[in-house]
Amino acid sequence: MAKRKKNGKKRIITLPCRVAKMLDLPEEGFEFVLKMTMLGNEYIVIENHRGIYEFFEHNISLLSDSGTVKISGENLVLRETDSDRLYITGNIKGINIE
Amino acid sequence: MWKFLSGYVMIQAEGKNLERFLNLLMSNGLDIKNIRRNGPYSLTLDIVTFDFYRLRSIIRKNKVRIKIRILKKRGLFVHLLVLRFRKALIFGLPVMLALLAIASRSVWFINVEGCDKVSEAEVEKMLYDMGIKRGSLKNSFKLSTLADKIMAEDERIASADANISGVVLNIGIQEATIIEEQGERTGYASIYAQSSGKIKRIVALMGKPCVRAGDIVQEGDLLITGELNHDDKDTMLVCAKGEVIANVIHTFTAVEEPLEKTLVRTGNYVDFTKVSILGFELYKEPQDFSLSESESMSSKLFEGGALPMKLVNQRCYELEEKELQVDTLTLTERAIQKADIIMQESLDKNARILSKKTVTQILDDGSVEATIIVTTEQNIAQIREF
Repeated sequence: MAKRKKNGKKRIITLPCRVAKMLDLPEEGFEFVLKMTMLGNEYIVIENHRGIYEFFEHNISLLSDSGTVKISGENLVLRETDSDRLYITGNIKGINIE
Repeated sequence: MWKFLSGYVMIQAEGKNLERFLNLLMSNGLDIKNIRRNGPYSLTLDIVTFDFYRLRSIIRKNKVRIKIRILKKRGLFVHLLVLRFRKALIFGLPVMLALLAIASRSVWFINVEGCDKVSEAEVEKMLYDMGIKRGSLKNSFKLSTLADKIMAEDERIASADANISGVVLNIGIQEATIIEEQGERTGYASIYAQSSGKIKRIVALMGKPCVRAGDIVQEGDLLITGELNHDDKDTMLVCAKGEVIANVIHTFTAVEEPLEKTLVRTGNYVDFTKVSILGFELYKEPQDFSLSESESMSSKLFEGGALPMKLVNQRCYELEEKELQVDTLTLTERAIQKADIIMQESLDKNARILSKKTVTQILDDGSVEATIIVTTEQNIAQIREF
């Protein structure tokens, strides 16, 4: 059940995800996919992350299945935290997934 | 709000692996908020009070080298922790709750609804006579029988219901429409006005009405005649029956004199000792004066020790009757009270009071005259047989 991506990494497509695709349902409910919701440039909610890799006032790096998410900005604060959800506030200037 | 209620602690964490520390807290399900990086090796965060106590064990268990320092303590829980040494609060709270529990077993308010002809005070007096007053225990009376008792007490009450909500006893009454028993009359009778007033409505059950609603009638005027004429030829005599409701103005006056006879002390007195054994007074007071009053001079002279005997020093003052001038305010109050009593005695029980006005005036001799002008709605029908 694995497809090979262009960069050579394997992307595992699980059975629930396949069923969701067949039924035209959103995949996010069945798979641990990184989900980011941004409100303007001041608030960002990141769901399904794998932990904090780096945390500074101007830079926050998070681990996820899709790679490392780098959020850059100023006065970044982790307003609320959860095991798989983060609510970040501050002056967000950029988001980079590596 | 929830954050304040549960209480939170603002801490500063210092160490090298701060990201690992955060991940550890998140994976253990600790509620942490407002995480700010202060420097390369320190950050501040808010943690819920309950979770703060778990923090130390998590750090020890996972061997994280982080130094924790409390910066602030906030929230209701923290305030309560401070108050835990206040003994008055700790013991006062259960006492207060116990008092509330005891107090909630009694009736503290009586709410009477549906009163029109029967006044609330009358219903409250009925309840008082039954032993129900403010402070009475809820289980000292039965609600099911209370309503029946109220109904039986006054014929003007058609139905009543009683219920308790909290500490309020709610009494709902429904008044009866009293139709005066006119009896089975066989002879000829007509209905006349018992008093002067303005007719509001007239219901002739038998006979022919002679007035209409809005008419002003004088006392003794014919209202419903028992003489029925057919084409001015035949005359039939019947016993008139009906109800004539009219607005009647009543005036009640009472005068209060300025001089009042009062007993005052003359200045003469006699000292004596009151002796009582087993509660029976052997020697009460000297009979030197025709009018007198006694007053205790000091505390008990002799208690009797083991004996049931008591000696008390007393002074007997001579009294005489004198006429004293009463102030106008007191006179006015008395005159109004007097007029009110006259009104209550004179007014028909079934009369419904529409308006009440009190006028007072000081007369030339200093006496005060109080006049109560009452407008009522009542049945003014009076049957006269012939």
